[in-house]
Amino acid sequence: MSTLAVPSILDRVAAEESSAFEECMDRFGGLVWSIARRLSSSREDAEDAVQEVFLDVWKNADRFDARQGSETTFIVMIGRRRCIDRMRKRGRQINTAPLETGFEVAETEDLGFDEVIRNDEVEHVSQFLTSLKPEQQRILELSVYEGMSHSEISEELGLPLGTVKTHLRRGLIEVRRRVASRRATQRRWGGRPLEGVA
Amino acid sequence: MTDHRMLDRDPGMADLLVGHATEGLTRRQQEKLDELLRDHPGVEEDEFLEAASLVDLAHASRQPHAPLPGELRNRILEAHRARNSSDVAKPEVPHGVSPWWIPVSAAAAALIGITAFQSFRLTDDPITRAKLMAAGEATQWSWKPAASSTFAEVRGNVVWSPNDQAGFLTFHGLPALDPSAQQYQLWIVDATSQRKHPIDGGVFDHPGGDDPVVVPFEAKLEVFEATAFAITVEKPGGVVVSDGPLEIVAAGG
Repeated sequence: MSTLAVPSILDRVAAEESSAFEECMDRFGGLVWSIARRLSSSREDAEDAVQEVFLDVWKNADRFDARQGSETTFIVMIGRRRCIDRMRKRGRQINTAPLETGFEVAETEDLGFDEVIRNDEVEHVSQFLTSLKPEQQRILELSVYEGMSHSEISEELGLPLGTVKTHLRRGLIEVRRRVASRRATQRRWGGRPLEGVA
Repeated sequence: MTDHRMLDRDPGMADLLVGHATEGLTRRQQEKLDELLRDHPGVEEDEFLEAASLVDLAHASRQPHAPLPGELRNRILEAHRARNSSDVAKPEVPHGVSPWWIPVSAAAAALIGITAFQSFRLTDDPITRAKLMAAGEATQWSWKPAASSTFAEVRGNVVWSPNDQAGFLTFHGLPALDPSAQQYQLWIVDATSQRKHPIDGGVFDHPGGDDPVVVPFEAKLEVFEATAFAITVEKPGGVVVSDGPLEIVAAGG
């Protein structure tokens, strides 16, 4: 019995289906907003970034290849690429005061967020991160998630800049290696997720 | 994907690639990375972007998050509907030679984002323009009418500051346009392999009356090596990809 592949939201955006862009925004808007707020200097900057990210998504939706990763990862890559470009042009004026207050989160939590971001690959990476030494975990978190520069992290943690760069480099190289290995294994086993695969 | 052992053997290159995926690079670092990428054609600039994105998601999965604000959502949707209803062709991420500008290189295409258009106000600010020139690194190129242009009487120049990623356009004899029907649009041609289409420099009005016309502008995407500036006439709001024709061009070297 043959199975028809269900087009992804990005496939439908690429095909310019009328409701696809709106569905894409509804599904990934909270995630993109999270990235933009963490990597922007102000709320206005974050709003502009989100607008630019979704424009990038619209223009590049036809590049999405489900064999290379999930839609969520693709969207995050576009979001990070755009926000880092903006950050570089601005001269790295990251807003160190978090835009997301506890009060705001309690009032307006995006209950669909978990469903969007949780997948086997993210879980796999999450487990790997918890296996790292606390110092390396913290460096990856401050750099990737909170958008701090390497020198800011060095100052924050009282570590040599070289140590920060080494931890980041090794951590990301290992993430790449593990993800590639997992995908290669899944392809051999017909795409079924495997537990305990390094 | 590049063999991670190669990146282990060259930590300097790996650090630049990591920097590109995390904090962004300075101009000098980007130039260094561009040089290394030319020497290692199998390595991609975004080598670590996916890994960083997965790490980002892993952290995000442990936090509660707010949804996209409704007003922002609606604003983006309205802009999208306006884009689709204005018969502007969805831009093609480059696969071949662009019609009237720089040749497309064989390098992997970067994610190109042309930002929201912005109308510039006309201003004559000789002090700021002079300061830009006095800083020593700004360049000035004269406008020339393009081959098929009807703007033969237009004179003036572009002052461009690579450090500030900004500049001024000055025009003498620029024909007036009805802003409800047409606007001028600036394009910046970047010769490096990072860009395969000109960068949008923004749209501006000239309903008439002022001469010279002085327009400040900022590049919305980083311009690594500006080699030409061009002006086209477009519908209000501008376009994502122009069919031309070029009206006025200022080219360096």
